Amino acid sequence: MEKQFICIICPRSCPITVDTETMVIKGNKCMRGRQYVNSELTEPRRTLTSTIRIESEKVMLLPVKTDRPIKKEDLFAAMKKISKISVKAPIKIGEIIVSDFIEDGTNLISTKTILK
Amino acid sequence: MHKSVVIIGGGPAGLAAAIGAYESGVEANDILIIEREKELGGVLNQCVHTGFGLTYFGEELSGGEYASRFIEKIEEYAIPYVTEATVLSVSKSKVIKFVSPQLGYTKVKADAVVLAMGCRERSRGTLNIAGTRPSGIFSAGSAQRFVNIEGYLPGKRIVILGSGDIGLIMARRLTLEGAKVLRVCEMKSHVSGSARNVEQCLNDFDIPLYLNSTVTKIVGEERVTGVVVSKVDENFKPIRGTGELVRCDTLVLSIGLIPENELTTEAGIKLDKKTNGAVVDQYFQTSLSGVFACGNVLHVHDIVDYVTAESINVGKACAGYVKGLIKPNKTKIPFEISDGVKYVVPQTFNFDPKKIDIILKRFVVYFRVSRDYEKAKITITSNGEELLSVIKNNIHSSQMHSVILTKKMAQVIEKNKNAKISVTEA
Ligand code: SF4
Repeated sequence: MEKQFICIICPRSCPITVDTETMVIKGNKCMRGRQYVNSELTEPRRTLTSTIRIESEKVMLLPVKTDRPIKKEDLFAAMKKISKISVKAPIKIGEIIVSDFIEDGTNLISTKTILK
Repeated sequence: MHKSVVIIGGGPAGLAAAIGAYESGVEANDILIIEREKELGGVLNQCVHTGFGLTYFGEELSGGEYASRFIEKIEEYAIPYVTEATVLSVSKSKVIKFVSPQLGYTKVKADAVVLAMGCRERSRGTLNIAGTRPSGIFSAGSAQRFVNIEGYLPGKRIVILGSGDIGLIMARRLTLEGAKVLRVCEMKSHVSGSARNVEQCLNDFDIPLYLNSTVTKIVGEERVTGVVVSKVDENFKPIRGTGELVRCDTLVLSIGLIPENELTTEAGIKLDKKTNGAVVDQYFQTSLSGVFACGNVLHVHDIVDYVTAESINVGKACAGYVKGLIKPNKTKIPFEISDGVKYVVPQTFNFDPKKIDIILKRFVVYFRVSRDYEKAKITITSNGEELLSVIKNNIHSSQMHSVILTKKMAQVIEKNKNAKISVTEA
């Protein structure tokens, strides 16, 4: 069977077709497109970004992300966990906010430095 | 106050221009960045999503992470900046007047100025939608600000009009935060944002996309209670009898961006009707000598990585100007466009015949096409002589494209005093 994908790995957004029996892949301009299609067919993953509450003089929210893509089906459960987290400044960019926060080894990290 | 280089706007364009100027030899203390918001970074600060930096850094960063790479450099180089500052005017003699809580009313005389004010969103007014004026109508960018900076969800049942990237990103963001995005309506027959955003922001969450359709009426007294969505014909005229009432409490508009050029206009700088930005030469110098423009104030870019690359070069050019390497006010060569080209930047050339490559070794030409091409041939000619010819597949009118002019090509353009860019079906 032929399946269609749009590669989301870079802005070129290559349209990729794959024959799921022979695994012949067409349309990808680079190898990352092949990896993307493989993971879409087996276990689609996405990097989740959001915000959490922060006690700070300047801002209300701290932007965060998962330090690796998580399973697509876990996105909403992860959002639920994120909504309950709050931190206090100072926080550095890249700092782990909660390690292993959805019990699959993924860490939630800060994507901004808030000094005060 | 006197400064060699004053940069108006501390977003991605302004930051990169400052870095470019410093790295080309302008003293940090001779540079000033004037920023309107409380912190540097511009719109990147409210972009918590990732997708930035893939082209420029080869890694995927969030908006804040991307901005911080440049802000850290500004701090490291000790380039001065003033925040919460409003620029009142830029004069022909390059005196910039601004007010800020930190410095009060300030006049600064600059040798070179970089216009890096960015763009703003098109509002409801540009659409002529009938109906009442209730609350609950947001531009995609203000919805983004509410969610990511202020911490409010603008509504629970949402219709998005327009398929720009910010609208697509917000469809996902609002969904993840618990709102129901009922549909995204796009007047055109194709999406304005990128295909990858349709995939990861709409398809991942089963958010329906309605092409060839628009909002023709807004319903509700105090608050939006619904919108009427109608099909449109090929001239974007709503088709009678196709109206459908969609119950919702919020309408988010993602219908395009316009460069913010009030200061530019007041300074008497020539604008290009097609880009809504200044007319510039190959150094991105405007019609006012020593005033440069880069980023979304010049022309709306698809991704910030291109803004950075362009603006670093503008910073370099500023440094060259300050050192007297650019000879101002020479006759300008117009860069003509053929039918298939919507616009080109730069719109003019202003080469120093003996020192064409004194500041930049090669010149990037940015353009958009007026329709989609499966296979397009892009050519640059001068007096009919073909200087450059490339074939590109799947050229879309919603994407920005670029080609590179070498020193050799520039020499021919300078000699012939003319140049033209054409796009045809290959
Ligand atoms: S296949 Fe490669 S070039 Fe094409 S979108 Fe994916 S990552 Fe980008």
